[in-house]
Amino acid sequence: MLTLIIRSIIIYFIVLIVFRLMGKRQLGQMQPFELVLTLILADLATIPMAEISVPLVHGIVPLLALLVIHYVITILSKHFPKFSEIFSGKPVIVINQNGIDYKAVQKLNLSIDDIMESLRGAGYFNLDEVLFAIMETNGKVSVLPKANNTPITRQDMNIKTEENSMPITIVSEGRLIKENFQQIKVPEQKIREFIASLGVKMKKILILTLDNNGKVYFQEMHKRAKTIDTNLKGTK
Amino acid sequence: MKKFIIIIIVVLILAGAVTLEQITINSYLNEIQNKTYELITLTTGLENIQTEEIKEKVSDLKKTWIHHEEILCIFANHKDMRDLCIEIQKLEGNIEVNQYEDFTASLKVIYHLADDYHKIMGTSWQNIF
Repeated sequence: MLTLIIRSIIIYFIVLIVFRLMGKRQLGQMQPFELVLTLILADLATIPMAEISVPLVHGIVPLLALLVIHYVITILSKHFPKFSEIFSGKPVIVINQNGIDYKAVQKLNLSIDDIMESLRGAGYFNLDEVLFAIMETNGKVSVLPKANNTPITRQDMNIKTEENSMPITIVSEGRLIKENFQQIKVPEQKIREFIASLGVKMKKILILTLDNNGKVYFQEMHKRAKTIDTNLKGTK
Repeated sequence: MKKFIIIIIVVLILAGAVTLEQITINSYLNEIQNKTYELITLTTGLENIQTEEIKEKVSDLKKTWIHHEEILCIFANHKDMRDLCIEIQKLEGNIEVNQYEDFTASLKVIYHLADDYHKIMGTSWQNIF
């Protein structure tokens, strides 16, 4: 039993490392070759985990071999578009100015219902709103709506606005996130002074973020959130 | 670059593991085969297998197997190794009751199994396909 536990732990960490090395894309939008790898990896990992007579090496070696294959395919796909086309396919226009390209849809082994489902998933319920729809290599549909159905932007209205910036987390669950200080130009001392001015102990702060307009989003544990305008400007 | 280095390290680990596996399996199984062959030649035509020399050689074969088994189990399925282990155990019992036929049969099985593992664990087209 203990052997099984130890084996499971080892396999878990090896699979985790392999997935981390394969990159973030593996977790979301998978290309066909990535999907194949994921399916094989899951199966490979379970064999030596459950069967004590199978050496652990019989699980680890194929995992590592697949990692190398994946890396080689990724590198080749990056450098040779033809190679990428073979392994991942290429995006296909399924809806154009003339409507649904039925030939393309058939070539993809899809039905019109599948296309409608994907469009609804992308937020378009009416075919008339769509100018172009492209089936991406990861199976998702990207839609370019007709001009009349595009949301009005501030640029359309000639409204000048200050550029948004990503709020940086300064305190999370009572812990000062020092790593994030590299992203803001405000000195640590100034932030500490600001936190002290709030009259709340650091460990009682649930979240505190700061954006480049000096806007602070702050929430004390078990209390309501507040937005405070400060002079702490200077995020990159 | 960091990822590339990791992949190179993984490739080296794999190459090392493959080489180590082949060297270990070849040398260990050859040793078992040689010792078994020695016993086969020694016992051919003998009626009495309860001699000191045979006992010593069987005990030596058993020791060699026990010593190598742990390493072989890292690379090979433990169930596959079990058959060979059982046959080696049988040798001592056969000497005790002076069962010449069973003794030589076990020796031949040991020789055959070691040869088989050689083929199973080695790299060949037959194994790949």
